[in-house]
Amino acid sequence: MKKLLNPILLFTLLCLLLLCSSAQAAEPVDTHTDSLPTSARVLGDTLYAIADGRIIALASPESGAETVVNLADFPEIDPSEWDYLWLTGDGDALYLLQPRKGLLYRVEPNALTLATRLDISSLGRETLTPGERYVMFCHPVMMDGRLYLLSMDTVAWQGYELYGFSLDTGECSSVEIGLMEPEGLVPYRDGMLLTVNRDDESVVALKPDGSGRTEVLTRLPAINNRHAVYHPAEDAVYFLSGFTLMRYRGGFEQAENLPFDDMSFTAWAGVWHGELVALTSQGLYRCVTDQTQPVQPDKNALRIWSNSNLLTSDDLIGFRASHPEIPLEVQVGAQEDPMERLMNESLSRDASIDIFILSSYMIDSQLIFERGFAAPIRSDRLQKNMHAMLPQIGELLMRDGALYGYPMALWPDFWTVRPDLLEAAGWSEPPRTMEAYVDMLLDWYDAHADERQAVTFNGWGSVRMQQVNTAQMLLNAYVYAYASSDEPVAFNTPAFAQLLQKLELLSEYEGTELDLMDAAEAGALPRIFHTGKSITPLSRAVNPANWGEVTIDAPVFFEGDAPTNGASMDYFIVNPNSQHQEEAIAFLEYYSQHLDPKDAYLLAPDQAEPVLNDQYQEQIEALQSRADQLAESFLQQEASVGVITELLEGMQGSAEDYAALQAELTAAQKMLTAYSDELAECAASLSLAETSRYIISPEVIAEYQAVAQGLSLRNHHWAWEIMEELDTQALFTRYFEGGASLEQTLRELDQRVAMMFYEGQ
Amino acid sequence: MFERKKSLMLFLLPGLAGVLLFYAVPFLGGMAYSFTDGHVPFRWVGLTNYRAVWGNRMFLLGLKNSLLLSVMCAPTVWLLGFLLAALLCRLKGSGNALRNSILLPYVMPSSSVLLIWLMLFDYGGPINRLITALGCGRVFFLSGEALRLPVLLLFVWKNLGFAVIVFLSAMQAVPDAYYEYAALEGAGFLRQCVSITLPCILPTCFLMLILAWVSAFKIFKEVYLIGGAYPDEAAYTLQNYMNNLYGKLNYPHVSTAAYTFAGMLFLFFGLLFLIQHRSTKAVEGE
Repeated sequence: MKKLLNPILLFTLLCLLLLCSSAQAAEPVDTHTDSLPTSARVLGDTLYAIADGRIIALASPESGAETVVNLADFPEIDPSEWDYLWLTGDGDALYLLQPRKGLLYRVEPNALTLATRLDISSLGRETLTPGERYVMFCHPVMMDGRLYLLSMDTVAWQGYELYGFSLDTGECSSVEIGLMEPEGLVPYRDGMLLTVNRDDESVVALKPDGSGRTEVLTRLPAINNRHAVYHPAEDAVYFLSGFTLMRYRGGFEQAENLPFDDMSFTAWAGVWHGELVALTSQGLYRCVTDQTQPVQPDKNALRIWSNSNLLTSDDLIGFRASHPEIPLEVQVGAQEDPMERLMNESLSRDASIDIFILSSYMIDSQLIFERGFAAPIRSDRLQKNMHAMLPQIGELLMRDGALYGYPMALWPDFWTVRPDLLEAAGWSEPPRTMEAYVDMLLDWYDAHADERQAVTFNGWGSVRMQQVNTAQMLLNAYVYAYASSDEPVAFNTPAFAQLLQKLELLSEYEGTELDLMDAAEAGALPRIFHTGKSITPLSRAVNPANWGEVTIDAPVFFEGDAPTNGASMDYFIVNPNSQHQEEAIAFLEYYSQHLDPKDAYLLAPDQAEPVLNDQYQEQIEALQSRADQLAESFLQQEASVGVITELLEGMQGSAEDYAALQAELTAAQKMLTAYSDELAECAASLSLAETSRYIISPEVIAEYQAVAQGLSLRNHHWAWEIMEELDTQALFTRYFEGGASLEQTLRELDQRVAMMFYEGQ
Repeated sequence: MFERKKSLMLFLLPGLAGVLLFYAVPFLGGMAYSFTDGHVPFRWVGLTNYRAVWGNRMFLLGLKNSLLLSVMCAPTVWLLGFLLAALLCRLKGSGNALRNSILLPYVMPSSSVLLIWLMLFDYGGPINRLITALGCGRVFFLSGEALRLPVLLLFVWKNLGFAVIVFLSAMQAVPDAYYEYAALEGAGFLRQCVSITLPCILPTCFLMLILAWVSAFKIFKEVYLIGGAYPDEAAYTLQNYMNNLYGKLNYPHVSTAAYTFAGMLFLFFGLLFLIQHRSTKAVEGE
């Protein structure tokens, strides 16, 4: 009997564990909305959210959604603003923030009452719309009768500011908090506010007393933490990303990992009915938080490793749905060096990671394949796909006809030019060679050094920065064109030396107005050239900041050289020790079939087809209907104004009646002007919407096709390695500062490049 | 007696097992790895890696520079350490503060003084200003063959204190009567050092020479801090070569270079031990 006792106890324990784990997989709560809510807030036991142009209320997870306010009923809120509204609350009062106009409404059933206008004029910020200096509020939170908001300093770009408004007196204050990427703002204990600075994944407590005092409480071990939730009853703080749920209790000494692998985008998280809930693109989840044990990894899972959050939730959710038999885990080693991780795994023959995501700039991919750190990918489909892609990608990821890596995303470094600014500066066409570019740069300084300009040449600040960065660009162009595996590239040539000497001439402009312009100031101004900043034709087409720019080839080093632009690429490799080779290939095949069109057209421009925007028609119709409504209202109002004017002209009543009618006329005229303004805004929105007909337009594809053949991936790695390993920035700085002669600088550069080259021979 | 020895072995076993497991096995494993192609699964390639590494011009350059720097650094540290210790020994208690201050660089991280070092040897730095004040031309200390000077000085500055302490502890055991008698006979400081101190502390002198040479052979931190991964050809050491190849995933060549280097060190120190053995015997014979 005793012999049987142990197995029985073990079996019972296992059953209990299984029961517990099945309890973790709670079904999402139905929010009864078509789209993902954009903002949410819990007041009492009710969860409020904005979705589908409505503010909805959910009393409990079991109850249906009740519409509190239909935003379409309030013409003062334009439909284009619906996605940018925020809910916040104080006690039992729910508020709606319209950040673009700085208006805060009190929300009541079927009513929006203006609670306060956020007056920022006393702080020297005159406008809430883009202009000389503007604020864009986000993450509102109410605490002790004050409304706190975050806003980026859009002039100096030196980080966010914390604004505080008294709801009673309207008094406002702002203080720089020095954080570059704060995400979320929640009330914390002792009157503090808590935020996550995604710049370095640190948890920061803010003292909202106007001092701007911040305290870093901890640095989170995972990346992409979007939401901090303070649970006062547990005195616990939760942090959610698409991959992890962490809890800190009673302080920040020890993090607990809790089961949460939804992997989708989390829009909001908070405490509702005493439970932690997360509003994700898959629904509203109640998170299981009573488990204190770390989550045990599934030994049979296919594991993908990356040092940043490169895979999207759609990729993972889609793969899980289509391959339920393959459990999938993603590990993100934010603080790890990918090469070191790969080396350690390979040398120890470890198989805990099946797929690595690497970047082409880090190391020559052929070295990885040559050393046997990647398994050949035996898939006809993937091989076929590879042949449809740019030939440079195949050169990077294939070896002796076999495929060893599969591309994930391409990052080209194109140049762009603003033709209007170019022409205004007196140039008819962009430079074709680096020499022409340097000449233009010298001409620019010659003509404009003594006065501040509203336009910059290339967005760089001081003369020294201009010299060093341009020298690095010269080096890039030189390496892209002349690096080879046969001999080390030599810089000590008359042409390279001559261009460096020309750049040295810029030193005479030190101390001028152009030199005194700092990088932030220069970077905020429109620029003639945008050089090597990962601006693809698509990103340029969809970003208003880049409108008016045209993609061009980077200037070549010598007239007649083939155009080359640098590009890096993220790619997958399969661990040769992996026990899940077939599953890994299944994932890669799935990924290749479901590649985001925005990535796909960059990889295979010849196969690219224009992609229509599904929501374009809907957007146009909504805007058109709004325009029609406004036009109708305008006509009615115009008629009213006419009637009142006629009445006024023929009026023979008392002075009081005359004044009343006069006031009515003024109000009607004001309303007419408002309708007219809104009509103009609507027309502008309509013309803007026209640009969103395509996700990827034929023009974007054509523009990319014209420059794609010149992309240089392998030499981009060499250029990066030379700049990184040889610290060319320090070398060029020393030269321009007069610490070394030109001959010595180039001799040193050549010597070191040769050392790098011969080491590998 | 036999029983006691057996029990001693029992006590030694955990330590020995640790040495075997964490030192001997990886050492032999690494050696075996240097005879493979480094690809998973490993394939035996005989001396291919050794031929490739021995024929690589950067390996040869690194080896040459490592030997040259060690020949410059080790004897300098040894000689200065010996002389300073002998002087401090004469000062007795009053030299304690000086002794402690000499040891200070040994416990300080080299990187913490790097900026000062770079500033001192900068093209426009105080040393070059002194040189120009003396009527000579400025020197690019941080590039070319002149880079060896700051590297040498940084190494000496760092390691001198340790050498002085080791020498000093041995010299304090030499009876004062020897020096008093020698002084009466008219022997000066240097004569006493050569004829009394040196023979009396010969084993320590050999030990210090070996330790200084081992440190000098492995000279890298100083070079890396001043010149980076790719310093001037004149200061590129074997450690640079191995470190850079590691970053390029070329482990077979890294291990080949390391074992080549280790083999040379074994030979060199074996020779030194042999000389020490014979010298000690000769001194004891006298």
